[in-house]
Amino acid sequence: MRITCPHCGNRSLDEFIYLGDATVQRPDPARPDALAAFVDYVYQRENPVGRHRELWYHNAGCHAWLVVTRDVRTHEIFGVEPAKEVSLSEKTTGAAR
Amino acid sequence: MTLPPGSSRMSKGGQIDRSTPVDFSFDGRSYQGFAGDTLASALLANNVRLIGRSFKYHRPRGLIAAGSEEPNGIVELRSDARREPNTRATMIELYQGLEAESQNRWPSLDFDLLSINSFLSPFLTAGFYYKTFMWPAALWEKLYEPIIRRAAGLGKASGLDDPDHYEKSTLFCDVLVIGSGPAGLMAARAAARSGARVVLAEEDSALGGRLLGDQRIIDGLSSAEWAAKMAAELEAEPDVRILRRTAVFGVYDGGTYGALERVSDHLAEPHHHAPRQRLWRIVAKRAVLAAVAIERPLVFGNNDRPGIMLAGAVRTYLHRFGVASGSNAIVFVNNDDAASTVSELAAAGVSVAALVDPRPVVSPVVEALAKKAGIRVISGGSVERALGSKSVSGAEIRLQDGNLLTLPCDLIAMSGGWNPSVHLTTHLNGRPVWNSSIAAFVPGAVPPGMAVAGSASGALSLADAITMGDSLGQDAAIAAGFKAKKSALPSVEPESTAIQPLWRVVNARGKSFVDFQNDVSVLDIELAEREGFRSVEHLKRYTTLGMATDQGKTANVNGLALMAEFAAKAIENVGTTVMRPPFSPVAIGAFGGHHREKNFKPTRLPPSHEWAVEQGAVFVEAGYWLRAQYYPKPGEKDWLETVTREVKAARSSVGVCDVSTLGKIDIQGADAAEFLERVYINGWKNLAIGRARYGLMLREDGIVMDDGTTTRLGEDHFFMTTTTANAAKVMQHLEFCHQWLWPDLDVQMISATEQWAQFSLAGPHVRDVLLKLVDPEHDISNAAFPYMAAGEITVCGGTRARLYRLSFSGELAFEIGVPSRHGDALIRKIMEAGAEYGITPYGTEALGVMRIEKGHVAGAELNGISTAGDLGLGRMMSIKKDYIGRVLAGRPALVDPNRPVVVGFRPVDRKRRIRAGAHFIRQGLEAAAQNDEGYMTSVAFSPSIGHWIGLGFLARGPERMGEIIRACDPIRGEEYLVEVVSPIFYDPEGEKLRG
Amino acid sequence: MANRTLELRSAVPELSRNSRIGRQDGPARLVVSEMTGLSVVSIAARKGQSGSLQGAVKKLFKIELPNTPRRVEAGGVAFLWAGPDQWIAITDMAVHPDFDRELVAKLGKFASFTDQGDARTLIRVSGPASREVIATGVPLDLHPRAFQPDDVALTHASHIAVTIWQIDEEPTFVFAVARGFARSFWHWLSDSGSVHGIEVSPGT
Repeated sequence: MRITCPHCGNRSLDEFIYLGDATVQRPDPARPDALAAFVDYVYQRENPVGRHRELWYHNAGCHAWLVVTRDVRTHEIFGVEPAKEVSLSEKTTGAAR
Repeated sequence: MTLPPGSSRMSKGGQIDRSTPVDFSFDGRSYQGFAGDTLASALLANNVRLIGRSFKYHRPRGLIAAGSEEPNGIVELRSDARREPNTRATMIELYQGLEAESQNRWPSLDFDLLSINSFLSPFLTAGFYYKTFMWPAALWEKLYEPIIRRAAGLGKASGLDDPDHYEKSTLFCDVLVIGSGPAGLMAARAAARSGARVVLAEEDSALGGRLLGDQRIIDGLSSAEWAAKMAAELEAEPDVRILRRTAVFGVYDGGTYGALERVSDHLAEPHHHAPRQRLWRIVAKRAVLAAVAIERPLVFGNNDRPGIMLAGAVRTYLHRFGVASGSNAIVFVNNDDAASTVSELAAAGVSVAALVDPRPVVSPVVEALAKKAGIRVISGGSVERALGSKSVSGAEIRLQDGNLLTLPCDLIAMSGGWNPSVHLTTHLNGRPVWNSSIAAFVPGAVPPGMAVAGSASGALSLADAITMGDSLGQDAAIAAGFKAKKSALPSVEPESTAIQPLWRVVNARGKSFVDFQNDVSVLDIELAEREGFRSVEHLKRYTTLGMATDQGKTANVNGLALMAEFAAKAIENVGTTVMRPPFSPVAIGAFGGHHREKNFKPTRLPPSHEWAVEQGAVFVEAGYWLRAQYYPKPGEKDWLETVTREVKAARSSVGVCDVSTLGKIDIQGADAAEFLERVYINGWKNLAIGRARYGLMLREDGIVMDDGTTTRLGEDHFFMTTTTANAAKVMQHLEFCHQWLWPDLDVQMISATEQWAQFSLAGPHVRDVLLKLVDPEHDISNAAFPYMAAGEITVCGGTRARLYRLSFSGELAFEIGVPSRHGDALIRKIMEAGAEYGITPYGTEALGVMRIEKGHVAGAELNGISTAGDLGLGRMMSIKKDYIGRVLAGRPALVDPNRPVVVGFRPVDRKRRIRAGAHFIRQGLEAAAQNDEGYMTSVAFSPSIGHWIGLGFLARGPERMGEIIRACDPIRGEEYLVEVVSPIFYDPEGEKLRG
Repeated sequence: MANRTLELRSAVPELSRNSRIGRQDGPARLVVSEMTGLSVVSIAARKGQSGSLQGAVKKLFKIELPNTPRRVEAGGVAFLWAGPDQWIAITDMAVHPDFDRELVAKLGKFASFTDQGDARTLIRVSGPASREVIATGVPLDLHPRAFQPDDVALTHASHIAVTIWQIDEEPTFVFAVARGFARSFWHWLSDSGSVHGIEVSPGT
């Protein structure tokens, strides 16, 4: 598999480290049900067939965290965005993950 | 014609170099061939037909094919350390002095005692091993398996280190063309002319594919001449890379292809420094698969006798190698491709006793050709049984009228049709589809970016291959972003490829083999069907059809067709087995490449490495790092004596240890302190500039991730250290926290691990030594530079350095860092300065002993399941802020008061050695899992105390000081009593380190 | 101002002397040397200061900081892209002995600086076989159509993290390798290059 890093270009899979679901959001630790929310955040994962949004780390490259949209059946990649920009824009627009 | 005695070599012809004779040996006998021969063609030329014994029945076997699909002709090549079992004689290029041995025979190829298995064959049918050796299971390893392995194994590995080396490399291109037959050559030319970067990979040593083995006319040239002309044209293209002897064996995601180049396999040994083989990772924007089609054997009685060969292979031996595979042939075919076999054999002077074709009416073209050559045509007939044992001597032919005709022969050239080589189209889940017009599977859905041209696609005629190759080569270049350039197509005569499938000869007598390499016959498939094996995958496992080195390249489709017949299904409804990489065998050495032995993984050397080598240090791997473990002195009897001396020296005078391997991260920015607050469990905003603090990080699940000391160098500048093992993981975690969780923080992180050579100096005389090194303007007195102070200084007359008053050992200690390029010089200066105090270098063992004596936790305690509380560090967890892991660290299970907590242990019998891994059980209770209360994590012989001590996790440990419990170590068969004590064995008040 | 009063030592002793490695006949097709005597500083823009940093660098060094994997050099100072809003600056240690402090003094408002002069070993590789040899460890397309002088890449070589850039069309490439891994890097490079003959010339 190859991933096109938005900073470094098209690179082989072995430069990257996979983390997991990019659609979960760290809960507000102050909320009253924080414990339950964190259990969901850390452990509960959907496993849908088809497209995933997932976090990858360009370990052997620019050290950027990336949000990769990938079909887990075919490994087709539909988009790669810098996680920092995704996160910042979500914070400014208030968009939910 | 008459062949010269002992030779089947034609007097002229072939693409061999007759001016260069090549000597070789097979089973100890000497022979001669020519440059350009394969071992297979040279053996045939020398009339050596018996090449091996079969896997199960030890039947005599000869060559069937001329290419990589060969199932029978597998030999052990070379000798001693270079001996390589299971190499295909058809793929071995002859070189001077080549040595090969037949396999699977005992005591000799000609007289094989185990051929008695042939008479036992009723007991050796499908599933035989599973049925016979079921019971008792205990006998499998000791008795059955060794016997089976000896009787039914293939070749033997040398068992010696491979003296050659292997290389891995990456190649990028716009268009990858796989195979260099007519379609491949045309595709490569079309893509190259458009300006694309082209890689043309060919398994063979020469370009041309079937053009080399057939005799066709293209643009007025012989097919071999035309192939050579095309090859020369491609060679001249600057952006075409031709990889000969390179088999593309796998297709991977993202346009990535695996290929193996046999760089030096055609030589006795690699030229100086050249690799034996090279594993290519080819990254291609587009690919044109122009692999060949593989001819199918016909299934009739004793169809495995030496001298029964694929018709295409017979032509290849004739045209490419100038070798007649026999002198009196029967051609047995079900398709029109055979026309050329008949006419070409006749033209070469091989007498053809008959053309046997099961079709009631032979095509007029073939009929005419045979007539012209004066060859008897038997239409509607089939060979029911081959005669002869170590070589075919005749054939029993059932005629259309029902009569049986026996004809003598020494060669049966057979063709059951052609299977497109679809393997590479299936590696990304594509499934081949049945094409009844050519009676074969053709590619179905192909991998993204791949197109299939020529016979691999099912277009079996030469004209189709040429047209298709050209057009798909252009398409590939266009898809890769180039403009196509039209070229004139070469002209060829059309040919017929008509076929009527014949999956087996029904009234065959004698074993009819489907899979030659695995000795799978028609009966085995029938039996498997009868016993209920309906899935082709089950059929494969039960009968072993399609396994081993050839992966059923000649066998699979025949096997599927027979399965279909016995199950009364259409072949397309039976399905195919999944074909996975590799297409052809790849040596493990090639996957390893440069990375073997000492280069298995990279080694990371600390700045004092060369100096430590000079001191005779013993080294230990710590992740990638190679660290000095201890520094033995002459006369010391073991490591314990050495380590004890090192600890005593550090505790009584002064010792020095390279601690450069700790991870170091420069953390800067206006929000640096805030960032640390969020990743560490303890507070950082109140840390003064010029002070260091111990910090502990959790994972989000509440478990400890790492620890280390972080120094505040400025208002917005911190210098973090991590454990050696976790440096990269912590950096990745911090980047995650910053980039994904809190991108709005102003914080920058740069790894500085390698910038600093850092030495820990410990012991009562440490200040005396430092005073000689640290430039006088820097005050390092206890008052000016107290415990946990840190700052920038200069040493040795002006070299920039950093000094930290940290102590892992519990002694008065400093860590001193200089830029790494000075690390070697500094350790030498330190040793010089400390000489009068007997300064002693110590390694990781002594470091470990001293930290256990002080009760400091390390890797064995930060084991991925411990909480801050388990480590006795729960009080560090700030309640004034949030941090990673805080919420889940509060889960009931992680705050359960019964959790095991780190405490110290000492043996009740003080002379006794204790060991990590022992589990703690209350006295009087059974040593069983339900009574397990924890385990020992770290132990050391404490030179300071004089007996063994340990750290470990014990349920409610801190409440149980003085209790005597059992330490049970069933793995080592030990049990002893230990006393629960404070984990701080040495200087519990911490007076020394503050001195 | 601090001096370098202690002796400097290369992480790869094999690169400190002239030698010919591997194939002995014909001209060496790979030429390797260590680049010594350099100051190297990592630069990371402070939050929201990337533009100001670029402006200040332009004023000071007459250089446009690259926003893509490129290298820009002027007046003896080279800036290499090193990730989003990150660069490394390389210059002659004799001229700029405390380059990090110099940069902090001049640009400290806009960026964080970390001295890396000792953290990395810089190895220059040239010669007609260089692309072929590098391909055995670096999974990047270095064909002239894909990688040109002043192009930079952060990647790995034989499983060792490296920054690689090209300085001329000969071609000459430079690798920046973590000092601790430099010897392993050399083992890979010398093993892979032996078949072509390697000329090692001491550090420059």
